[in-house]
Amino acid sequence: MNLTQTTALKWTVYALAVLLLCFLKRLLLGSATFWGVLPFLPPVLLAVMAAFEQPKSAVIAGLAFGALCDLVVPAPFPCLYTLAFTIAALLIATVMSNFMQQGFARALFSSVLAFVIVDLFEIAAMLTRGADLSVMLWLFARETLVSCVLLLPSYPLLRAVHRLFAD
Amino acid sequence: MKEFFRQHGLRILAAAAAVAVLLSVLTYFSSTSSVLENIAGVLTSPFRAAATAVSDWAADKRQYYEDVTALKEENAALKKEIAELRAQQRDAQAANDENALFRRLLKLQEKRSDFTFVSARVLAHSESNWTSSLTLSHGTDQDIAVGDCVVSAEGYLVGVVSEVGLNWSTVLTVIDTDTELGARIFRTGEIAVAEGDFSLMNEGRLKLSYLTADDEVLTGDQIVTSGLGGYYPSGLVIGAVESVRTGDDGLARYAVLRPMVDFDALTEIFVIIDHDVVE
Repeated sequence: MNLTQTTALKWTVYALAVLLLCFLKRLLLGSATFWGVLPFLPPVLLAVMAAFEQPKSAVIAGLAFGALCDLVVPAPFPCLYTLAFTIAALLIATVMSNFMQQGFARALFSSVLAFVIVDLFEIAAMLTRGADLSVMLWLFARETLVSCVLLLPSYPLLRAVHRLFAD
Repeated sequence: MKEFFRQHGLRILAAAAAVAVLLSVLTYFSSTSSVLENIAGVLTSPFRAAATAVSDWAADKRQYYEDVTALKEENAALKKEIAELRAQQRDAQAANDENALFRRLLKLQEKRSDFTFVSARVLAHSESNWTSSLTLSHGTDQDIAVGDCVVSAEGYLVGVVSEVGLNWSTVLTVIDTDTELGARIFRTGEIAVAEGDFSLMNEGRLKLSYLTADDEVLTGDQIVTSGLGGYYPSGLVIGAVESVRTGDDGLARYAVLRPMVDFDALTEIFVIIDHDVVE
């Protein structure tokens, strides 16, 4: 199998793993809220994948995954997730990799960074509508904390996919 | 053999005749069976019993096999019948649900004959913490368009269609920050604007803004759509006033509205695809 085929297969398996996790989240959690917020899975998935991959692959994944999220998840403005996920993937794959060894801690901090960037865009959009900054920051904190719990099932599965195509 | 019969034939015949006569005489004088018959019976009885036992066993086994085969066939037929009955029950349940839905639609239609309704199922609730939305099971296939109002079975306003596809549509609920509706205080007839507010959205509430100092808003007042401008229908119940507050500037007043609908519990809703415009 040549490199192109391996890359295509790897991202297909990543996509299937992401679909499985989204399906399980919907099946097991539904619209359940914890601490008043819905656990939000997409930034966690992106962060874990970007933490494993090279910057170029991570950015392309961020772009594609963001565009997909913009198509299915309502947002305060169009292309919010495309922009936020692309930037988040770039930062995770470049900056985070210089600071931390690959592992769960890096995935955790990457997830927090992804939420910071996504919610920065959300907050910026909401500020134009006169929303209260403190309320938004409080929502950001709760959303990040609750959603990072989703790393527990997501990280091992995506790491297994990464290891499958590591060589 | 010929020689044997030639020499002894008469004797044998005589002996046979004598035995026959003897048997006849014994039978005539015996109250039960003859001695020879008795002897023959006694000797053959165990063999008969054994033959009967074997025959009974074989018959029993054959009967058992026939019974099992028949029971298996009956069991399969019953299983099939149960499956068919269950399918019928499911169909009946679906028909019942549909019937109930159409009854509610009819009631709603009778209540508001100026509206054209389309029913839809709620496929998904909010996916994000920053918006409040619902995904519906119908779109342009049922003539649903962006801007159509969505109501509950009781006729309470749920939200407004924001995006529409062939067989899906997205509704932003009345508490979403993008929602802004012309509103009227039902008791007084005064006009205001009902709009989503981020701080209130997480509490499941919305805001009634642009209240003047003269507006008499009381807790419990029902707020309905004004229908002014003809964009949205009039008279749809948005919610009830929960409290009246003063804005951060200390001048403007606004009311906090509690929607009449529990968005998380919604499964079936109605989209108003056409309505008469109030001049």
